[in-house]
Amino acid sequence: MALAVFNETLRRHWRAILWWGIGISLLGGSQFLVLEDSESLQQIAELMESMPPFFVQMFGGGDVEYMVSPEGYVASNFFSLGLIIFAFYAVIAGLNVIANEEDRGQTDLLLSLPVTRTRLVVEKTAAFALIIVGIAAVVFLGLILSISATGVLEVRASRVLESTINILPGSLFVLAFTVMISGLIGNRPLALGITAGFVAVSYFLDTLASLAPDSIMGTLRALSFFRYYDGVFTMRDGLNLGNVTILLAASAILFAAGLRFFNRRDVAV
Amino acid sequence: MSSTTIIQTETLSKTYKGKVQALNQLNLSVNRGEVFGYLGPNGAGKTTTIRLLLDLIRPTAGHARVFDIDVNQDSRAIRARIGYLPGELNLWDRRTAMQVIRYVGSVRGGVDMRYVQELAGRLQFDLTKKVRSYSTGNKRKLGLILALMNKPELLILDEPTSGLDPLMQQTFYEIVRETRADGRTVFLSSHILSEVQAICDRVGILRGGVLQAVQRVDQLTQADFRNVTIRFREPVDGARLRALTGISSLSIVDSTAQFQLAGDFDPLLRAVQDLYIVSMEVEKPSLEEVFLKFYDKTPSSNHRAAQSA
Repeated sequence: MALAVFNETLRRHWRAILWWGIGISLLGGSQFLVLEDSESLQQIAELMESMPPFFVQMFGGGDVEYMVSPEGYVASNFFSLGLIIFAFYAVIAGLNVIANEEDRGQTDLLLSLPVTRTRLVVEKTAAFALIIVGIAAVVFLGLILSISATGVLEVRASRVLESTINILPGSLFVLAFTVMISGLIGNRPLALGITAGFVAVSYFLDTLASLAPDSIMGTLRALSFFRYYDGVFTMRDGLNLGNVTILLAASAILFAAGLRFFNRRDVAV
Repeated sequence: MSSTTIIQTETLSKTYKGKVQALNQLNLSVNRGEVFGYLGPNGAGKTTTIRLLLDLIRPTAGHARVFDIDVNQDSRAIRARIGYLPGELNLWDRRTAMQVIRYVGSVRGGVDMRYVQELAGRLQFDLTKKVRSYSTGNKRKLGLILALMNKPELLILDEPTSGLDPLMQQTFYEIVRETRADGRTVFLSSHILSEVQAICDRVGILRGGVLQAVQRVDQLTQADFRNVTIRFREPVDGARLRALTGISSLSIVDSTAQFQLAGDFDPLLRAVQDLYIVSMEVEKPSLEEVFLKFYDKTPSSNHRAAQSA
């Protein structure tokens, strides 16, 4: 039956939309509670003015005036971390595409059925991509509810939507990277280690590069996928379609490579 | 490959990580409508062969064809006609048996639920429980239902009765015989000789990744040696028996000699004609003994080794 694997994957994992969506929404919504206190942003502004410039740079490109606005505050305290939070789930989802079932010996049974390895991986990845979109949708709804509940109307719903959408290409990139590594090696702990290491190194590379943009780190920053995700700038200036395109194209390349690797290797026992 | 050949391998070989030779130059044919037993101890290469046939792993050399289709060319078309029971069956613990059956059935493009219910009834299996609550034997029953439920042309079963109680083993044997009667083919790996003896038409014996022999089971049990026990009235000189050709695994305790005799009885009878024989028993070897003979380990030699240890 068409989409049997896709449907089954959704059936088993759709609850992640609720749990992860509600959890991340609560994290984001809590930022609005700070904004209800009109003095808090003033105190933050004073604190930032006392910080060294490179430190301010790390938290939103040095635009202190925007960062201490309600929108800038939500962007720098929630959306700048949004991708790293979503990346956690993307790694878990990516491992569920190949590595987890292979590690548990379930892939043997599945691939004894009339389904190609390509179809198996495509349907499962599509299901998890849809779940990630679902989590983002719940997060967006949660943030909009938070705006309504706290009355912090200076935060534009359209920019919250764009910032939420901006998380998706990076999350899909991590999903595709995890599938690629799992497709390459039939060893779950190693795949997990490599993927977690890759996300961590990318994050620190991007953070260090933002502190010292003129150093070698600044040059290497292009290698970090976090470079193409910027929560503060997206909230301020809107979605950067160039960055979105780069991440989606890289995701497609990684995914295709993962399929090729998995099709060519032995299924691990 | 003839139209009656379902599985054919030619010099099929598999080496893991360039070091461990799991299968070496396997040439094997399995015919339509037969129950083929693939026999060997753990690590002999049985599961490797099955995983090669299913295209789960790729050969280092040689090739295999199933239904006259190269397994590396169009494996999906082959698997549409196969039912497979893995040696180690790991299913989704939080799903019920029925949910697993529906999932596998949907990937197959549909399943006859009446036949599933019939199989569950015969195997005395409750389809409503979650997989994690089943015992090893019940998980095996679920695996058998998954393999059988689409009435495949070829059943590939890796250690199918492992964990099944004797009653259910008999039910399984009945199902296998019915499968054969339908003209379908069964390829089963086992290290349980009585199982092979009970249901298989032919048996291939694998050792260290090398196919040692393929025999009809009835021929294998008619191997050209017999277990002989002679009780003499007086203690007997072993050298007299040991000198005879065709005698192996000789043990003499007091006045009783036990050995395996290959070939004719006449030289033996002539050698002991001057001795008083109280009794003489001659038994056909069991399949296990024939099997162990292929491995140069007779049960009696093992017994002696254990005694001397």
